[in-house]
Amino acid sequence: MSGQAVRLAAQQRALLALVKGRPVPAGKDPYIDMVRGTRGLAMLQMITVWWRRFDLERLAPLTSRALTHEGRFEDALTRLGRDADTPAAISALAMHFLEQHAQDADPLIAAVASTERALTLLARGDRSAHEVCWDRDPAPVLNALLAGRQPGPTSPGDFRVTVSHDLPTLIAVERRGDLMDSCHPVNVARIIDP
Amino acid sequence: MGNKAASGGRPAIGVTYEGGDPALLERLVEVADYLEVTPDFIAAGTGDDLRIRREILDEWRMAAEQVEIVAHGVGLSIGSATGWNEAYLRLVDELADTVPLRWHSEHLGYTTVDGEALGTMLSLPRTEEALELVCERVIRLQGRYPVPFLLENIARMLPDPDGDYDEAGFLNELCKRTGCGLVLDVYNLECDAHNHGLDIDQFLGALELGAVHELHIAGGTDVGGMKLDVHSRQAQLSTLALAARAAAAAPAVWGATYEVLPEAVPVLGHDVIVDEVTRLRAALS
Repeated sequence: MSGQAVRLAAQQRALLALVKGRPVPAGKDPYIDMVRGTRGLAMLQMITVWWRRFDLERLAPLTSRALTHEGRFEDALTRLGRDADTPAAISALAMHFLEQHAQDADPLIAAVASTERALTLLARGDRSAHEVCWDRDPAPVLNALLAGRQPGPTSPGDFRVTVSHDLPTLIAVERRGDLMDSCHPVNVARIIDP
Repeated sequence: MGNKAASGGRPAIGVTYEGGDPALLERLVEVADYLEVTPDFIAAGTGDDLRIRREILDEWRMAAEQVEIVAHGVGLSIGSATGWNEAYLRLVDELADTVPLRWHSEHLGYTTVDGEALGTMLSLPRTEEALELVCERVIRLQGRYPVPFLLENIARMLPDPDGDYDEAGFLNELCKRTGCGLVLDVYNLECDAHNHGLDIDQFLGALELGAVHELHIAGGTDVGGMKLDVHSRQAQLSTLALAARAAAAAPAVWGATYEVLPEAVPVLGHDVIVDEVTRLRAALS
């Protein structure tokens, strides 16, 4: 840091805290005290959520839609805004979001995010095969999300999704060892070529 | 500039294009003189390991055979007191090694603090302290890339802190000390006028217009009584008229760019974006 930018750094840290909704002590910087209650700050906080929404709906559409259908997308966006480790770069933000939700307590969200993470890696040139366990038939879920529809009830069971460049359709669905991709195709072209 | 550049000293006309939409690209190269690309929008990877997607670089390299390419970043964070974003510069290195760039530009603001993302971009106070910080970094950028470097005025969302300079004075001093040029975003001027009462006439009268080498034109939206710089709409007539005024008054404007967010492309549609480029050319002719 430039030795001459000490006051600037302190002001920027305080503004970061205000934008993130963290506590900022009053009385240290009159400018920060003045910004605290402004319409512009409220608008900035809203805009940061917008940007993340736009970015994630474009770069992680399946997981964004699945969370929206579960009524949890807003909370996820707020969490990204609050967390200090949320990446600045847009593409890194999408991968961070997918990795977060690949660990989700809801098995459906975790499976969707893990599958979308694998597809995103594939689109970025990753040559390895990725396997994701599902507790229900993934094909109707993924096809509904791709079409922007809420997934309906699906057959429970132990399913495995494989995502790989070596597969003709890039994605295959298996149940108890029976290859089902030809029965329940999933068209992921729009996801891997956003 | 470019095989479709207007003659008679009129600025070339550009448009944002982020890659991955060959049907749009095919139409844009027919109507635009250059494409403005944003390296951080199409990077892949995480953290410090960001790379521009190879297929997009290939697309831009092909496009560069028909139009010129300028780089316009959002992620450098040139005004962060605790350090700018080196990962962004590596993206520009990668781009500059692959595609001939006409110029390179960034926003006069900051997006990170201590490496943490703000989630938006904030403007700098117009203090000597901030000016020295930015000047030092501009000079480093000028040494790193053999193309002109320009800085863009951003729309201010927060009230103006006390400073050592007024709006135009800060930019004039920045250009005088470093020799860098300016991107004058005329829609951002309209936002600042609406949100904070900026006197655009006074600003343009005080600005050293010889440093203005590019104009940005965009359309945003009004929310909660504030005008927001979101690049999601067609340009309003007032924005085009202001661009025409600035282009007539500034003696060395190389280009004027219609900016649209990638997220807005499917909403606006290809026809509207192509029409906006044509409208901009007509407004500046």
